[in-house]
Amino acid sequence: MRRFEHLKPKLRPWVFVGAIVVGFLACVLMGRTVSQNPVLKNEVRLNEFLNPMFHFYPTASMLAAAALDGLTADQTLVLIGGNSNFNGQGQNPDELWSLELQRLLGDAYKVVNFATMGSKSADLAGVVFRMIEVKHPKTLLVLNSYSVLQGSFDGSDDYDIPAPALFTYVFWDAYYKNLIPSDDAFEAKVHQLQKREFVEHANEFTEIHLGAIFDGFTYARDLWTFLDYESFFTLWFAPRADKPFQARKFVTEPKRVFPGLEERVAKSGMTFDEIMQNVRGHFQGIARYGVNGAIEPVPEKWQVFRDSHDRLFTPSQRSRVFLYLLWPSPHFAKKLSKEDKALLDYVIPHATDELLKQGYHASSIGRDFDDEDYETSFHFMASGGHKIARLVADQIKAESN
Amino acid sequence: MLDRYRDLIFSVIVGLLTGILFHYLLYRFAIPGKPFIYVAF
Repeated sequence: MRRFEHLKPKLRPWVFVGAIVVGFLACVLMGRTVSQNPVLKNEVRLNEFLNPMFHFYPTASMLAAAALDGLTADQTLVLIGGNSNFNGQGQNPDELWSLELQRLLGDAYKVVNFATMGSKSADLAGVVFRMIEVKHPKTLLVLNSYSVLQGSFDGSDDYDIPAPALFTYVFWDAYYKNLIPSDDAFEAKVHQLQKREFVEHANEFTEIHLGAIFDGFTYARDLWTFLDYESFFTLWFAPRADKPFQARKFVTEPKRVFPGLEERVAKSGMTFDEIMQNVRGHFQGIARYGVNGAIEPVPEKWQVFRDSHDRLFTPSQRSRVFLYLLWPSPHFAKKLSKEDKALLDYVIPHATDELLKQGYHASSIGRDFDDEDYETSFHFMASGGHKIARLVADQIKAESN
Repeated sequence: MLDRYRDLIFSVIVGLLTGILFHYLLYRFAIPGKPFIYVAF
C-alpha cells in the first residue's frame, strides 16, 4: 500500500477552515431564502406527520408564508387555531370542516387551518396572527378552547409549574427573528415573560430560548424543515420503515373509515372511566359547590382563567378573535352525575360570558349536537364539523356586515 | 491537472461538507424536545 501513499490527498488547513465557513454561510443564506417559501400551501391541515410528535417542526415563517400565499388585499384571512378538535380529528381530509367553512364564506375569504394535535389555542395560528395582523388588518383568528386555562401567551403552561409546551418554540422563533411587529406595551409584556422563563425557570426554558436565539442567526430550522418537507427527511421515520427518509410532502394521511359510536369508543384506546374523567376534567376545578350548596367559581382558578385570556391578546386584537368553548358529547354528558352536570352547565356559559366581557367573540359549540356528531367524547365527525362550519361562517359574516 | 489541485479540491469538499454538517447539528440542537442523540436512535 505504501507505493500509493503519494496519492493520498492532504488537507490544507486554511482552505479547509475557509470552506467550512463558506459551507455554513451558504446554508444560512439558503435558510433565509427558503423561510419565505409557502411550502405548506397545499396542506389542508397540519396532520400528524406535520407535527413535532413525528419530529416535524413547522417554523413561524413557513406558516406565515403559507397563510399569505395568493392572498389579495381585499380578501379576509381566516386563521384557524386550536387543538385536535379544530384540526378535524374525526374527519378525513376531504370532509374537513375548514373546507366547508371556506365554501360557505366564498372567495372573499381565505381559510387556513393551523389547528393541530397538542396545540394550545393561540400558539400556531395565534403567532401567525400576531405576525400578519398589522400588515393585513383583515385577518381573523378562529380558535377552539379545549381547556378553559390558556397558559402564557407564548403557548407555555404557566399554571402550577411553568413549562414549555409542544409549540412554545413557534412564538420565540417569530420573536427572535423580529417577525412580530411590536410596540412598547408588547415589548414590556415579552420582557416580563422572558425574565420569568429565562431567569426564574431557566431549567425548563433555556433550551427554548437559546435555540430560538441561535436560529435567529443560522436559520437552520427553516432550511432543514424545508428539506424535511420538500426533499428528504433527515431522521429515520419508523412508521414508514419502507421509506424512512421520505419527504413529508409525500407522506399522506391514510383514509379512515369510522365505525358506529360503540366501536369508535372501543377503539379509542380509552376505557369508559377514562373518557368520563376526560369529560369531567373539562370543567372540574374551576367551579365548586359552596357551603350553602350553590355553585360558585374557585376564585384563584377563575383569576388564572381571566388573567391568561387577558394577556393573550390586546383589546384591539380581541375584536378579531373568535373563541369557541366546547361542550362534550351528549352521549357522555348525560352519563354525568346530576351535580357534575350542573357544574358543566355553570362553567361553560360563565366562561363564555367572561370572554365576551374581555372583548372576544366568544361562544360555545356542541350543546345542541347529536351523539353521532362526535367521534367519542370530543373530536367532531364530518356531520359535527359541518355544523361548526355553518355556525362560524354565520358569526363571521354577521361581524363583517 | 487534477493531480495538481487534488489537495485543494479535497480540502474544499471536506470543508463544505463539514460546514453543512455543522449547520445541520445546530438545527438538531435548536429544535426543542428530546436530545439529538435520543432522537437519532
